[in-house]
This record gives sequence, structure tokens and C-alpha cells, in this order.
Amino acid sequence: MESNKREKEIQSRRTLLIADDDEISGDILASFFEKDYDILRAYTGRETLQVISSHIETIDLVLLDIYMPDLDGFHVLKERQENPEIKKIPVIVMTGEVDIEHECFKLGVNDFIKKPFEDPEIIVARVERMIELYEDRSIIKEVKIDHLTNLYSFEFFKKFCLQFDAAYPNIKKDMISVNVTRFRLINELYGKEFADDVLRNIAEYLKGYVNEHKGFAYHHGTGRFLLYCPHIENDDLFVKGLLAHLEKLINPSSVHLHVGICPNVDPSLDKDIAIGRAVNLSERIQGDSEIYCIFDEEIEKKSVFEEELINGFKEALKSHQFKVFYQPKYKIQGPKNILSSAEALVRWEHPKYGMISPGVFIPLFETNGFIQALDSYVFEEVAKQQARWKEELGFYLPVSVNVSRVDVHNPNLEKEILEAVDSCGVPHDKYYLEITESAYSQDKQEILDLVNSLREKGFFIEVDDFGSGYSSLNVISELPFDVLKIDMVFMKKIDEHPMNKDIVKMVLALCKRFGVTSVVEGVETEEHYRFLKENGCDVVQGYYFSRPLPLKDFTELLKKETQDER
Amino acid sequence: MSVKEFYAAIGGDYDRALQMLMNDVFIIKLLKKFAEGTYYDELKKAREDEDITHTFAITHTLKGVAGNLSLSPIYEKASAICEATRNKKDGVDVSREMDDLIETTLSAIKKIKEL
Repeated sequence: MESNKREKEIQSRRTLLIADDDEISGDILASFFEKDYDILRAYTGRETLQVISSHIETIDLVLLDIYMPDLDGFHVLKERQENPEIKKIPVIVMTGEVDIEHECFKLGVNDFIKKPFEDPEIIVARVERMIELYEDRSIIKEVKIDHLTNLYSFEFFKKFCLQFDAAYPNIKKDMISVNVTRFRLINELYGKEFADDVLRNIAEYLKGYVNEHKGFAYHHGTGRFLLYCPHIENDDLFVKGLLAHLEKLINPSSVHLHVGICPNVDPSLDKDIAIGRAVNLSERIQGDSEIYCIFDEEIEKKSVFEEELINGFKEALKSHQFKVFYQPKYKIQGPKNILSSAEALVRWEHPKYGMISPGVFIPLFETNGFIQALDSYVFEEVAKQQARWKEELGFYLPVSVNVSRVDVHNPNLEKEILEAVDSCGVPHDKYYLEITESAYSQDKQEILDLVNSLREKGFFIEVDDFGSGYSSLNVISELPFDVLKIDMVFMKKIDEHPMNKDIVKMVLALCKRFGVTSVVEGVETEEHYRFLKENGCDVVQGYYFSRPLPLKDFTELLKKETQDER
Repeated sequence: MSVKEFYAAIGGDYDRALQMLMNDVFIIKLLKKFAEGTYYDELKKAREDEDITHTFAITHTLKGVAGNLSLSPIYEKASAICEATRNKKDGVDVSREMDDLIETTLSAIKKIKEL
């Protein structure tokens, strides 16, 4: 019973165009079909052609009256003869005249329905049969098969997706992109013939899989496949099966499998978008460990959001949407804590998303290279501000700026820093450059050269985030620097694990021994502060003293603290 | 009168109408559309204008509508007039033969109680 009902629903979404100038006849005809079909209506020949061309993808059959105002049915049929797209849609002529049948047949009419109408059931059956006949024929005619793999061509794949949706509106479907990475390598290592064999074999496997599940597959470029099939409940099983098959064919170490799955594709979603999502997913997989990635709204939202950030970057830079915030650093070893310097931190005041934290956009800009332009902007902004404070308050406040690990590869980095600082007349020893410890472990020589050169010119070098990665004491012995910034993770861990206290104590002692200034970030509680003060930490930074402040607030704080001072 | 009585009164085929149109509600809806339609006015206008082509066209439409609504007398007369006016240069007056039928049918439609 249930399955009968579903069968019925499956057949139910076809579209009929009823072209008849007489409203009553059209209403009657529509009443035969409206339960199972979507009905479009046209009342003149001209209108008929308009409706056909605006619904060319959806109309399954036209029921055409011959005598109509403006253009008659013959005119419509002649137009259809000349337009291959319209010709794909079958036409049944409704007429009471026997003698026009001959002419209609010559004009490619597929069948006739007698007017006045006779048995409604027969009319419905004829229409149904004609549509089915046409669907089969157009599929056979249009299939352009990829000769190598015997899979469908791209255009046909998309068309089939639409037909599949229309035929099975209530079945959930997945769009899947399968990439066999580094496939070119197989070509080079084993020759084209072998590579083609492998491709054919993968195609065969995929075809077997989708046929079994009533879906279909498409080969779009070497080693890349698209599948559209009823929803796969167990993705893991599907991917593992494919992987096992692939491993039988080739040495698994030479290629990898990356699969992007968009489950339960919304049928109203443009097929290009669904395909794009699946392909992007399979392409964003990196490395060897991950094999497949399943689309979800979050991933999509994130990538749309990231794209927006990237697209807005240049304008943001131009219109000063990036704001430099300053987080004060305090010297804590004197009788009184003194605001001695600040770290410049960039925020994005986005016109749409409001204040965006650097944690969101810095990693993004590090991957696409925008970070260099952003850092240069910050270098300049900070130097200009230091000059303004000098004017206003009478002294240069030391400020540290972050140098991204990506900047290290910028051959003009040093020049850019010098220009920014010198054009504002800021003494080099008031300008601190923070370089992360992890950057040093990646590009040792470049960093050593950079640091040496900058220090020679009088800049202060701070090693940032010490302890956040795989810290190595080599950094302390090898790299010439002025300040060691101990990462906030240590401070967080102090509460969890008492041994961390000993590590911090040891690092602080090392700093003393080597004569470098120690800074601890992430100081959040009085307890942190007391512990650090007791153990000889020179400078602290963290919410216990102040969060990063917008320029205006920071300047106020700076004025207040320095007035107290004097 | 009821729909069935209406068909009896005008000599139409109620059984056929019911088979095609399924129920009285739909039949009434379409009869109302027929009564509100411009068929008769257009027929008279074509006659005044001595427009034989339009006379044929409107009669042809009437033939279709009357056939589908099983208004048999109009259907039969319209069929005859169609043949008489097809490919003719004059002879619009033949359409007068339908006037009485149409008028009777229109006034009968008004008497259907569910209307």
C-alpha cells in the first residue's frame, strides 16, 4: 500500500502545458491531470511559444489547440520544427477536425486527442505514454558517453540529475565527488595505457555501485568522478569499499583518494552549486590521512564567510577598517607596576560582521598571502601612532608588532619596517618585533639572518609564543634575541598541573641567566601575577591588568598612568 | 432546478457530462463560466460585421465548449454551422439558427438552484 502510494508520488511531478484559447475546455482538460501533474496554461499561439521558451526545461508535453487567436497551432508547430530544443518536447494536438491530421503529422505532431473530449482515462493514458516514450528517446539520443570510461558526459550528467529529481522527488540524494589524486603520476610512472586501464576500472566499480543504487556517475577529467545517487547511509563503508578496490589496482602509496560528499542535496539547489560543493570538499582535503569529507552547512557558511573576508580585504585596507588595538605590558619587579610598553594587535571592524578577531582572519590571510600587506599596514600605523604619542605625551612608548612567519619570506620585509619606522622618526629601540618560536623552527636560516640584521639596526627582537608548540631550548641558545615571551598556555596549565610552575620558574631563571627580558602573556588572575612576581618575571601582559584596548582607551590609560608616574 | 434537470430541460447529455466532469460542483462552475463568457456577444458582433472568418472561429469554439459540456443541441448546431461557414466568403446569417438555442440554454443555466 505504502509503496503503491510512493510509486504514485514518484510519477506525480511532471509538467503539462495546456494551450487552448477556450478557458472551459482548458479547465476540463486540466481537471483530468491536475492531481498528478503541474499544469501550465496558454491562451494564444504567441503565449504558447512564450511559456514553452520560459519553461523549456520543465515542460514534459504540450496539449495544443489548433484554432487560437494571434498565432494558430500550425504556427506553433512550425516554430517547434525549427527549434531543436522545443522539438524535444512532445506535442499532442486537440482537434475535432479529421482533415488537419495529415498536415499536423507533417509538422511533427506526436498524437491527437479528439475534441470534444471522450474518455478522460484514455486521454490521461495517452499523455503518460507519450511522455515516457519521449523520455526514453531523448535519453538514448542525447547520451554522450565518455569513451574512455563509458560514463556520462557532464552536460548529460546535469540533465540526468534534473530528470532524476523529477522522477523521484521524495528520495534523498547525494552528490559525490571522487578524486584520485596525483593521477598524472600513474601516467608518468606506468604509461598511459596502464593509467587508462586503472581509470576504466575505477569507472566500472563506480558504475556498478551507482547502478545498484539507481544513481549514475560521470567522469570529469583525469581521475575525477561525480556521482549522483540515492542517499548513502554509510559513507564509511562506501569509501572503504572504493579504497579497497583502488588498492587492488595500484600501489596505494602512489595515489590517494579524496571524496567530497554532499548528502541529501536540496533538489531546488542549482546543480552547478551542488556539484561545486562536492568538488570543493574533495579538493579541500589535504594530506594522506583524511579520505572523505561530508558537507554540512557549517563548512559552507565558513567558506562563504571566508570568501567574503578575502573579497573585502583590499577595500578594508583602503578604508582603514583594520584597527590597531594596544594591550599594555607592565613591569612588575619595581615597587610599583609600571605600564612600560604595549603589544599592537589588529582587529577588523567589518561593515557587516562587526569586530572580527585576528584569530579568524590571520590564519586565512597567512594562507593566501594577504598577511604581508596587512602586517605592513600595521607596521606603519604603529610607527605613526608612536610619533603622535611622542608629540602628545613627550615620550616614545615601546610597542611590539607581530611579524608573521609568512613575512619572513618577503624579501622586502626589512625595507618595509625601516621605511615605516624611519619615516615617523621612531627610534629603533622603541620598536619591538615579535617573531614566533614556531617560525624559527621552520625557517631557521632565514630567521637568523633577518634577526641579526634587524638587531644590528637597533630593533628589539621578541621570541613570541614560547612554549606553545614543540618548544626547544635550542631557540634560547641559538637565536639572538632581546625578549622571551612565554606563552599563555603555561599560565593556563599552572592551575591544572603543578609541574608547569617549575617549568615557568626554570624558563624565567634561564632568561635571567642569559640576560634577556622575560615576558609572560595570559596573566589572568592575582595568583598568576603573584607567582610571576615572586619568581622574577620582568614583564606581564594579560587580562588581569588589561585586555587589548582600542586606541582612544589605551591613550587615556597611558596618560593616566604616566601622570601618576610624574 | 438541479443540474440533472437542467440537462433534461435543454436536451443535453447529463450522464456524459458527469462522466467527463466528475461532479455537479465542477459542472456548475463551468456552466457559470459559459454563461459569463462572451461567446454569444461575439457571435452577434461577427454577424453585424459580416465577418465570416470570425463567425466560423467563434462557432468552432462554441462547438468545442458545448461538446465538452455535453450541451448537445448547441454542439450539433455549431458543428453544422462550422461546416456551412468553413472556407466561405459570406453567409454569416446562418449563425442565427443558433440564437434560440443559446438563449434558452443561458436562461436555463440561471435557473440552476446551486448556481
